[in-house]
Amino acid sequence: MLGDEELLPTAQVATLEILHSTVMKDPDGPTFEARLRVLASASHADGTSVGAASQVAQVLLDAWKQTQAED
Amino acid sequence: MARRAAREPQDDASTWLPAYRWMLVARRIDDTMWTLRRQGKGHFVVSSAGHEAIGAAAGLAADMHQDFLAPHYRDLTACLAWGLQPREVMAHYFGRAADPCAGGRQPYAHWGSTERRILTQEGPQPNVVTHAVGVAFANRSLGTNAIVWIGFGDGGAQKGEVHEAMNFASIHRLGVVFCVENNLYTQSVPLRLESSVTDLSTRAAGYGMPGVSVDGMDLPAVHGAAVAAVARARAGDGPSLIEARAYRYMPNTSNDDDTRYRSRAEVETWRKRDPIARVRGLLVESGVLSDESATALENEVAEEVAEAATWAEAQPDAPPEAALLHTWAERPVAALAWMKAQTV
Repeated sequence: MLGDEELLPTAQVATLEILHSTVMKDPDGPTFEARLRVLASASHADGTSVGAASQVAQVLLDAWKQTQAED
Repeated sequence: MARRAAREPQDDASTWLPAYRWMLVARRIDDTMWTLRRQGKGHFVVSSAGHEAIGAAAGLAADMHQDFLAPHYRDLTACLAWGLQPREVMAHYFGRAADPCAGGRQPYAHWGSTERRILTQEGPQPNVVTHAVGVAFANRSLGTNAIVWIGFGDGGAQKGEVHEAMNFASIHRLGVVFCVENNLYTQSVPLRLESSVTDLSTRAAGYGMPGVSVDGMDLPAVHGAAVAAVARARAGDGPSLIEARAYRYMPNTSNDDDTRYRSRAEVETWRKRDPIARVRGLLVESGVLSDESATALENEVAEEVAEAATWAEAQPDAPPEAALLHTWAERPVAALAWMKAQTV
């Protein structure tokens, strides 16, 4: 992004972090869940972008678990 | 369902008035975003300046109560015609929760609105063409005569999915208008290095559909082609291809430096053909607007866009729970109702 990452909207920062860490690695289900767990365990102390991603990852992880249980 | 008929410009020059306003709003938003970008307040800008007449013509020709828009990423004007409001566009630019296109998750110009029948824009261009043809096929199955206006660039026209989409749409005589917005460059690559033909509309013959090339910076010219293509699509006679020739005044995006591949003299030459100035001239010459009322309208639009930018910048980011919203098929998770209540 030509060094202007600080201007990226928070939701886009979180989206990019999650996409690069999960689905863009083409994981299977267990690996996807494991990667979400790693992201969800982070905090804002790990940086602004990872902190934002961690909150979203927790939401996705909860939804993932719920759908797995439903299936 | 109420419908708005396509307008006939020959009868009344006031036909162009709503189009003029959409174009003014689009240009003002464009200018505002570049300013915000330079001020370090906003991020990624994709400019529609120079392309405004194309989307405005589509908006005039289409039926806003049923037709679909599969926009090119420079189709801000078309999105405004299909109902997006300046506040919503600026919320999209700032990536705020109030962004109706993606809840702030996608960079600017990734349009989309289920309620307005604007198909989601993807990063890879022009994937939306095949999705749009799928929508047209669904329209056929559902028994409606809604049409789908598909915008894409001259670079996108060189991609395989355009061939697949045009071939499929023609075989099934779907209600589709393909509009290639030829601005002479695919990012930095000139047309002569991206296309084997200079008249992109000639490709229509290979699919058994009519094709026409028009001045895409001349609203009446694009509108004439749009009305004919929409009528053909609505009547069930199949798709058409419109090549609307335009020129983008700004760099490809805010991450581009266009001085590396085109001269300032070239840009200035095209600026003399400005589509907005030409519509203003039509309205003033016909007496629909005076110089004073035209200026008043421009000032009104400037104030509306400035207010929209201020409003959008002050809006909150989306909550993390909003990650499960703004999808075409939302998972029936238990917390969904609560999340919608929090974010809508």
